[in-house]
Amino acid sequence: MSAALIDEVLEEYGALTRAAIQPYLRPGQPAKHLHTPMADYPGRGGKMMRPAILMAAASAFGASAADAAELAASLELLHNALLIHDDIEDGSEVRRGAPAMHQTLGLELAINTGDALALTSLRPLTDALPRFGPSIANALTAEMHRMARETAEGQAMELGWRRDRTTALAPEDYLVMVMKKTCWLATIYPCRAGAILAWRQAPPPAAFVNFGFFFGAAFQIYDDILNIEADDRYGKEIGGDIAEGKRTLMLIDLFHRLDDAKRGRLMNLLAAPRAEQDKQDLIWATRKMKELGSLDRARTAARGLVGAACHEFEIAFADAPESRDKAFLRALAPWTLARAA
Amino acid sequence: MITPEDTPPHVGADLDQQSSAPMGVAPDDGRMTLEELARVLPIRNIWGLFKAYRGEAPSTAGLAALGLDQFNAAANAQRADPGADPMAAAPPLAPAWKPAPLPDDADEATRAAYAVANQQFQAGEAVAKELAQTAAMARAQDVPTLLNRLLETYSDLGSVFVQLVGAAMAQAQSAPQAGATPAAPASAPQTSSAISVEITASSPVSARALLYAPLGAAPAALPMTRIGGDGVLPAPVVNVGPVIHITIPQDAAPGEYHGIILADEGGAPAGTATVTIASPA
Repeated sequence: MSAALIDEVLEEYGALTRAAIQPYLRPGQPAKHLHTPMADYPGRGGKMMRPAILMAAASAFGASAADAAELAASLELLHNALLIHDDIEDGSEVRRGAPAMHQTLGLELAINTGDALALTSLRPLTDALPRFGPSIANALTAEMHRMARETAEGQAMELGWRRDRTTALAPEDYLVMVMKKTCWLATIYPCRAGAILAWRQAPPPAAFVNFGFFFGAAFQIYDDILNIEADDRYGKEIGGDIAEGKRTLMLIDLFHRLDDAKRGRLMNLLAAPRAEQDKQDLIWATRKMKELGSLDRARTAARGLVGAACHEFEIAFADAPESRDKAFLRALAPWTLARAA
Repeated sequence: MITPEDTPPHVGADLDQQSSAPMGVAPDDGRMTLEELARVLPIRNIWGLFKAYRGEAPSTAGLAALGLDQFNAAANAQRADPGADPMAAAPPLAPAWKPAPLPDDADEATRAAYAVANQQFQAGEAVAKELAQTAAMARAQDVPTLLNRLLETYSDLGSVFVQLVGAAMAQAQSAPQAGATPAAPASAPQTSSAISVEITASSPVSARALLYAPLGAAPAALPMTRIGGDGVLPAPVVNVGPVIHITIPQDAAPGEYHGIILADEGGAPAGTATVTIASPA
């Protein structure tokens, strides 16, 4: 039932957001090297979870869907801009089933396209602001700046760990990184921006932060787990995240549970260029995550976060009357568990 | 960054197509890596544009004339000192969590997450205060005043050319007066909503212009008179363009002068021009 509701709301709000994005991605010149690529990632699909959360939060508190759609379009454009740059930073080859943009367009043009898309993301916001009035305009732009800053800081943390080959990390370090890199853009900002539209003023500083953090972190941890377990299930190349050196919760746990010799082997694996990584080392690291219980511990932690997210949801949305939108938002955290099952 | 939405449920499906390695350690895998910059001392002000930076502390003489010496020099001085850590004053991003493995139970993991949330909330408050201080500093600098100082400084050099874009009131363009005969588009004179001001002066001056109606093909201007005094400046010359040329006589009395810009010679007023002549220091 919840899964059906989530699919329905994602589809509906996703369609509204795509329609709101369309006017900002019109053909122009230079087409081949800018305007066509700008429409590339937004046209590849995606679940549209971020804009759906924003629109559902706005509607749950009584704002109009039309106003929320413009904000959702702005958020989705920014998200796609960041994806272009993230794919470059991560050295990714595939995005949503097709080659990553820099693989076909080259680094320089992909970076430029990402820049243009990021700046274009301001346009739906500025187009809507005169209608909202100065108070809401100030609150929204301040909120967007906070979100952008947090996201960049989180990305810097993760890239910095990989660059500096950092291994002495605590689970809390991972949670801070995920809160910044993932949660502010994916869950916290959408809830807060939706509330601003409805309340006509900035929400209290802590509003929706706990719910967005616990839900977003649980989602990311399950994503990381699937990245390891799906290897066995689908027989694909072993250890994608490990090969990329991503400091997941499981990897952090594994660092602390290996003896010195084995920890040295793991560190050498992470430090090696991908082309020089031994596939047997990747298989060994994946197996160790399972043998030493790192995967199970991460799953347990994520389950706890889902429970905390459910608790925090009732606090954050206590003032919203029961509605389809509220039911959708309430179902998101448990949906994370079902998705990982 | 792999984010929740963009990784499909069958996450491993495209893993075999992904290629990544720790940044900065894989120069031979065909991907671009970041090199250290040869010059680590930034050129942060306009004076540095015209000479090679050789490591000396940047001169702030020009900035002082603009009242900006305190504003920029502090940041530059910090960067000019090779021993200074530019991040020394920055607050830590997060407390140094003690490296540790994951706890075995969900309660402990949730407690850790709440600790992170609380810590991040406090950090967010600190950032908000920091940003508020930045905004207050910007307000204290009073941007219009700085721009005036900039204009005054440059006018010391002899002449100044400033482009001001004054948006003519939309209503004046689109809403005809009652009883007025609408002009045929084909015969309507060319109008403009932008204006440039060129000033020739031997003393510090500032200028501004405001258009509230479209200009015609041959705009004109009336002599400028001083508020609270009897001073009169020659009528500014308005060229088609339109550009307003204002020449400030050497013996002009300090004060603020206003003049009317006409849409056409003998036509209706279309805007105002204002020149402020500073008192001698």
